[in-house]
Amino acid sequence: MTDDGRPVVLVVEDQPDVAETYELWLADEYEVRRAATGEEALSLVEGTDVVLLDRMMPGLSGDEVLSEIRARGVDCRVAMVSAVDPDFDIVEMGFDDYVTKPPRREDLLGTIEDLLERSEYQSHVRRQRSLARKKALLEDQKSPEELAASDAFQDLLAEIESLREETDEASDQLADDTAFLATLRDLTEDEDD
Amino acid sequence: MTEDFALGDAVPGPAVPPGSNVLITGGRATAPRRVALSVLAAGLREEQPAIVVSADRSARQLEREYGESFEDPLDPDLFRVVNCSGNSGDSDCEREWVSSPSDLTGVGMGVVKAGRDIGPDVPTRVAVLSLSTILQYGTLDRTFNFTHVLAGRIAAEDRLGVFTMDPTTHEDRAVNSLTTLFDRVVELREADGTREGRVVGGPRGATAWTPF
Repeated sequence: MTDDGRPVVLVVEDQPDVAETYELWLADEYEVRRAATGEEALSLVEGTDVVLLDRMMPGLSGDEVLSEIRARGVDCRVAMVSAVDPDFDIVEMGFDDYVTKPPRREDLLGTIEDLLERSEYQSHVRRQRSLARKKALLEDQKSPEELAASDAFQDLLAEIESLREETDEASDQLADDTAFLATLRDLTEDEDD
Repeated sequence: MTEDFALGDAVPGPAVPPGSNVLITGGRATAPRRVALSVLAAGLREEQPAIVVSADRSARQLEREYGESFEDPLDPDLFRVVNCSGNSGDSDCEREWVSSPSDLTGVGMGVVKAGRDIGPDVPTRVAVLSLSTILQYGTLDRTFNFTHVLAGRIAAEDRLGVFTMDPTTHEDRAVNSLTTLFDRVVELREADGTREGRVVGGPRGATAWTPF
């Protein structure tokens, strides 16, 4: 995210005219960075929200770039741009989504929007988890009477409830197989405080 | 498809709207798995399919347990087991095999595949038997996230989620964190040889204990 709140999209594509087109489509809503090689992508990836990663590139391949991004623990969603529909093998490969090549404008924009929403869902889940933990801790330490009389506890319950409602809206995407599996993977692998 | 899901006689409380997630908690003596199976049975009798994530029993053992409690034979087209229990056993109900309850992405993949040819508008019940075992093989953080995401998918698909947990085997803190994820929590207990249940959560707080 930039300082003024615009999400940052990194376009990794070795063909300049294709990269140019993507940038034209995206520039209205996003801060766009462009990388022509995998090596360049890795030097620009820090601080990005979404990476559009061409799978077939000379030099470092898309798969190699992805595993390096994950190894560095950069918190971004990565969409693979690929000529073949990988179905949900994509989840095992570590990607969050895919766009078939050549993408149409609305597909590309739709995918980025979905991925940003998924990032938001994930941070909601983590926030809800920390509130639930706080609630459980208080329940452990105080009697039901003390809790009923505590404004702080009642506020906490209200906060959990409103977060639950917000998250419910964000979770509509989970009906989609890829979104569900990629989210599950992101939230259950290497996820311990 | 807007009809509520009837939970059957073994669970106190009214039917729940599509997209609800229900947690059934109780110690061994209250047989929460059997109660969960009875919720599935209430659907199977209406031809509503069930997808069961089984972390405690093989599909074959589940089939046997079901047969002991309910007369109608299980239809493998309707009763689809994702077996992550590590116990094998020949069963037509077993759709997917996942090597361990700690492989939560694998479990999710199993649920997706087991549900693939059930139409999107078919009221379907999804059970996790049990959340306790998943928690034992993982951490509270991972189990919380898994439950959040799976329950979210069940809600997004207008299905019914049925999860079981034995609260006596976990710290109160873990139990109290996880219960925040459910629309309804059904608590079971055994007192003086009688099994009792009550519904907690919801606007009216806890209901009184009633025998079942």
